[in-house]
Amino acid sequence: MDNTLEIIDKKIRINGIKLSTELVQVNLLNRFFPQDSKALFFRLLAQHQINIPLILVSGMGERIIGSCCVAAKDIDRIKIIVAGEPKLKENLEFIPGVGTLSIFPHHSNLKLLGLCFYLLGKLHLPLYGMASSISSLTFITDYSQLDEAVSTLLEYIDLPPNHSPFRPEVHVIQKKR
Amino acid sequence: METFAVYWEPKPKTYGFKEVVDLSLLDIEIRPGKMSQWGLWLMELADLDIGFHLIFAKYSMHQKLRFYILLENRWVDSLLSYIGKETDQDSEKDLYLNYPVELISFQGPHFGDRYGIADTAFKALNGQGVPILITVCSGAAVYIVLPEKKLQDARPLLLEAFEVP
Repeated sequence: MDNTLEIIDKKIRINGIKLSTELVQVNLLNRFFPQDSKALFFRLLAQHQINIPLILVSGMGERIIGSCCVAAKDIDRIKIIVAGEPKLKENLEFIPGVGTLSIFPHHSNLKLLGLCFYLLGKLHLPLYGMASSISSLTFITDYSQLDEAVSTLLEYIDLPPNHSPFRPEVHVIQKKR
Repeated sequence: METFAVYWEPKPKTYGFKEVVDLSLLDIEIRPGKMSQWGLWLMELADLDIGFHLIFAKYSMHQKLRFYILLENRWVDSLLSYIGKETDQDSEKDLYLNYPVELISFQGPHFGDRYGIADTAFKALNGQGVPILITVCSGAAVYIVLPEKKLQDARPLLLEAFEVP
């Protein structure tokens, strides 16, 4: 990395980095995408008990009005489900092989976000979307490049001793009785 | 080794709702190749102690990332003044300000791992005259950004759909 990061005089201390399993990003396109089609998409996935771990919808006249991530194992089912709704199917776009990297905590401060933008940009890693939650910043990039992204971030970010980036080992499933 | 926990409830429980008014939504189009520059500017803005209630970015079209910051109105002047002085003219043109807006957010147990949470929120608000500007579901949290004075309409509808302690 070059030396333009003079603004970071010391490493930013964080509490952890979490990586996702492999995901597929689904973009909802604005072409003739009526408001109720958007609702239909989320309803269909709920009816088929498919979780959407990350949802970003802005609906403000852009070409892509929303993006969400689903587990790679669910994508074939989703394609079958939307095949029955031609208007919906035409207006979906899939980006396979993505993953998320979550860093916490952000303390509602822009420094950690700025650093991540800076480093991801310098590395030319694709950024398909990002969002804050209560404590973390989550970035969507190529699944195959998550480890590279983490190595670069760790040059400027300090994890607590004996901590390393982790992938969740507990899966919560919601089922109707 | 993986552990699976099974979870279900008829009306999703939340840990409570948070409401914030008098907010501004700053919307920046980040052109290809400009992300690291914006990263540096954001780090400098952090030194002005400008905090945020929500940030997110998504593609607005291919290769164009649109970045949103939801912040309190009191920060807008400092932020615009910084952008006017420090950023280049092209980037300044890619910036839009939408205000005033309001935020209602809530979280619940394992929301990020469970299907149907977003659908429950959309079902509660759709067709009820509550225009949703932004919806973000990230981690266990749900954020809904509304135009000014619409929070009072959204609140009872969401309280009906979700269980609040």
